[in-house]
Amino acid sequence: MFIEIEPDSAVPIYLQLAQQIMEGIARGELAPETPLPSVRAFAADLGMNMHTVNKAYHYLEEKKMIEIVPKKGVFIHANAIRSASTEEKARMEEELRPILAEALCLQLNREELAGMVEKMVREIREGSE
Amino acid sequence: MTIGLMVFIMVLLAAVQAFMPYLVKATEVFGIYVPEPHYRQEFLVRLKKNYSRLVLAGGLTSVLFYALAVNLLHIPEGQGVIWGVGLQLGIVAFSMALYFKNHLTVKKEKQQQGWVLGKKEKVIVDLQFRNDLEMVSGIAFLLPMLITVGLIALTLTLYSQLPDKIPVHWGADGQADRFSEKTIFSSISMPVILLIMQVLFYFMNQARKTSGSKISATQKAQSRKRELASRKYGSWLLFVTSISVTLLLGSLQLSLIYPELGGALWVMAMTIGFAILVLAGTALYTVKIAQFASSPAAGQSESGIIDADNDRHWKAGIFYVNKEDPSIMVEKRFGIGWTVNLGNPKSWVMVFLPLAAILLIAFLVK
Repeated sequence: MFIEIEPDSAVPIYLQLAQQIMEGIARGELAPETPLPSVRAFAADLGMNMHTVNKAYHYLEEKKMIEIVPKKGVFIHANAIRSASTEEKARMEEELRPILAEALCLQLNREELAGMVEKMVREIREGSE
Repeated sequence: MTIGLMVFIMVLLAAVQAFMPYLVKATEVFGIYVPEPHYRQEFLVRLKKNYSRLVLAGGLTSVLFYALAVNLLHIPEGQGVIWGVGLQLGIVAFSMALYFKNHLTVKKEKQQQGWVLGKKEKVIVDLQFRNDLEMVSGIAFLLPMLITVGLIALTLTLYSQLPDKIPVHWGADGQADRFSEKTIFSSISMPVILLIMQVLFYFMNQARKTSGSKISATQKAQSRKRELASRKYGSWLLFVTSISVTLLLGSLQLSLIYPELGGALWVMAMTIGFAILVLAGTALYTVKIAQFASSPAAGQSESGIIDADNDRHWKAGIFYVNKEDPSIMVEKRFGIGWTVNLGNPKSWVMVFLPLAAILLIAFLVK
């Protein structure tokens, strides 16, 4: 799977990395237990600091999307595809809240929002932006 | 014979230098990143052509003068070799000077025409890249070291039988012409140098395994293949070089232990065989990699998207200095093969530690 990073984007590079890996998992392209490149190799491919990759990996590890096994490597979490726990639902709500607040300010109605979600789910599944 | 080899190397050198602009990536013109579609500009095509013509003309003229001078003036072979090596360096210096002039021209043009202005830079990483790497394994590089260790052991066991003078330098005719006092250290200095080189080759191979892949944003599949090929064949070339050096220095050491084995002819044959093996390996590598350089799949690029412009990390388009990049070795921009990332302290260790060790041994033995 190809990861495409835009160095000049407003989105931090570690987030671009994490988000694209997450999309890969959601799409099924990165199946559970698939190995990911080592921090050093990934950073070399990017031509960027290892710190950036580390940050992305820890971000994903915190979300239980990947597993960092010492001395063995980095893998997609065996339970990356799972039903959300109560805490995970609560965290998602918390993260969605400011976005919904902005949407309400911009007077998006429920249908429009539902349509947006529909469209994005389709895009993630098909693997296009 | 040696003069013939000199002439052959000179012609080869001039040809490779002359065609270099066509052997490297099409989007890297004289060490400057030129995105699609600009690298097809008439101006750049002409610049490359002029460079090739000049280097070829200069190189072949000097070869002609050299061959004539050596034959007509009856220059002794030893001196002829020195002149030959000098001329080879001259050809390289001449082509590098021309390169640098063109490098500056393209750099200026890039700024003036704004080839990267307003374009979206993208860095591509293939998560599967390292699974598809087909490189010679590190273990294979450890095997020749066993031969060397065996040679050292053999030399030390038969130390009392060794001649009183240890040859440390051979002339163009294959005859040993400089000797050192017989000590334990001088008797094994050559295999020790060989061992250092073998360790260096091992680490160079490992460094290429972890070197960053440079996949083009506009030609992902094509450039991915190229990156895999440059690692695969680069690794094979390194292995062939390691084996050749082992054969050459190993046989020299054997002829020290068993003088009846190697006369001057033997030394010459091994040296020439070594040169031919390494040259053929390099030629094969070049052909394999150049295939990818000359066939950019045109017309399928997304507009407005370019690769990350790394010019600032390439000093003069030749020296790669990037403190962020953990790569130790990277592929050259203008040239065949690989160079080190001078921004990484490990690269300095890899270059200077073996060099210092070999120089120290040479100094001590002398």
